[in-house]
Amino acid sequence: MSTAGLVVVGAGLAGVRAVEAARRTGFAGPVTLLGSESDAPYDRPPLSKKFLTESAALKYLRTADSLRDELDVDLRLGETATAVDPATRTVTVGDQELPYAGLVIATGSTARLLPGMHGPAGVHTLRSHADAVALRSAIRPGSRVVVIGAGFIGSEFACSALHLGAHVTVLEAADVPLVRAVGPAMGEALGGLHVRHGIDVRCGALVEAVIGRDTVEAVRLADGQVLPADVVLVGVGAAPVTDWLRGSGLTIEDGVVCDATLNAGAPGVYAAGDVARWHNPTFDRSMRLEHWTSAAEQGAVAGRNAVATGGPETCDVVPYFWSDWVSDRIQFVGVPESDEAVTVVGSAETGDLLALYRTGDRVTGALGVNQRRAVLRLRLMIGQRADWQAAVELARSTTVRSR
Amino acid sequence: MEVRIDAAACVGHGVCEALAPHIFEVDDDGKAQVVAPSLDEADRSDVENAVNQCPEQALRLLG
Ligand SMILES: Cc1cc2nc3c(=O)[nH]c(=O)nc-3n(C[C@H](O)[C@H](O)[C@H](O)COP(=O)(O)OP(=O)(O)OC[C@H]3O[C@@H](n4cnc5c(N)ncnc54)[C@H](O)[C@@H]3O)c2cc1C
Repeated sequence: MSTAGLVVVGAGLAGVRAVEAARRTGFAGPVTLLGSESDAPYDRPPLSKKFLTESAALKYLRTADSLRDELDVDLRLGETATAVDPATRTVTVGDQELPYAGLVIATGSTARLLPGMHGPAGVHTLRSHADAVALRSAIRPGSRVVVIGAGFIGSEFACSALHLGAHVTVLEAADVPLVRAVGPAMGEALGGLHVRHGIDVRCGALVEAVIGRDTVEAVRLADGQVLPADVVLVGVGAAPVTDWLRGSGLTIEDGVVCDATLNAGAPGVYAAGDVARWHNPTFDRSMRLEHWTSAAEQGAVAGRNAVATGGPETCDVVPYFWSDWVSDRIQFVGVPESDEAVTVVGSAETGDLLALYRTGDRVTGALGVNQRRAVLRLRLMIGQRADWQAAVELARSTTVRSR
Repeated sequence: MEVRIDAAACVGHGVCEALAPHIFEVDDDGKAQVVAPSLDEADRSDVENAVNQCPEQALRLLG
């Protein structure tokens, strides 16, 4: 049996940042990085954007050679961990029991499915390189595309498909799109941006069935309407990949439950990225994020903590995500739950919206459309627990107005 | 220690500036610039965080 070192399960963004950070702290023991996918670790955000619209090449986070040669990582692609035993400190991979001193769980999330609707060809989800390749070859000018779910992935895909000349309809079960991500008022505002781009968004639309035996033909709604479709994208959210942890004794509640240091409740075991639900000290509450920068940040913290000889560090995050809709960049910082969301300048339709979220007398969130300078300054302020009035003043002075 | 910014890759997310405003600033063209006159060891962890969290992987730390 090999010596126990750092084992990282999941070769995505959080996993790569974990091995990089562990090495940077000077950890010289063995490092193993396990990934189910056969590709070297790659970047997901372009998959719904440039990968489709510009046929861009897959963007790697690090090549296999650089992981192996520069970081001395035992990179095992195409291998899936099936169990963890915190008592014996081992991870099961195939018929092997891999010992660990420190473990980082970075298995990410997977696209949620709609029961009974994924049978016929032409019904897709979008999470992996393989998914994006399939969608890229399915969409042609004139294709009839139906997107189920007006979340960020569905919205970006709708924009990209439109750009490629497809006819796009977006169906959303809720009355307002993007409520969970940006709250009701601003979800409504962002829906207006789709209208400006010429995308048909139908809210309150309940999908009853996908019609077609071998190949998809149409989508039927609960009100009886039938929408003909060549391509259907199901974009109804992502679920953390935790099935393989059943029986580990770790607490799983919509993610691996962790403390403020990302520790999962067993010695040496940490979680990071989309799979982690941790206590974020900045907002003093538990959260699970599905955002790029926090996955990178958590990965680095978890990697350092898993090999640390001293006490672990906490992971303080002001959530940030961006989304690109045709040529408009949407950015959100902080958390959407608040006492009120106030538009400070502009509007989504004119492509220059800036809105602030207030909780008590603090600023706790900000949403911008093409307002990057203001948004990043507000991220700093939210982290410093800044006062509402100061944020409003800053917002007024740094925003840009379209024309 | 030196930090290089790939101006072609940078699209002005401003993640670096929000992490380390004394080192980085996004200019009016939406490109990050290094504004610190010099970097020393005390800046290392800030710069590393910015490099790690740049969504476009436009930053590189040398030395
Ligand atoms: C199409 C798309 C567009 C996006 N756009 C944006 C955006 O614009 N802005 C933004 O902020 N965020 C965006 N995101 C979200 C962002 O990409 C994720 O938050 C990020 O990838 C999370 O990284 P992760 O390492 O936690 O998980 P992942 O990237 O999912 O990596 C986890 C890896 O672990 C592997 N794995 C799972 N189980 C096992 C196992 N048992 N054994 C071994 N390996 C396993 C998986 O195969 C996967 O490769 C987007 C996501 C997608 C899919």
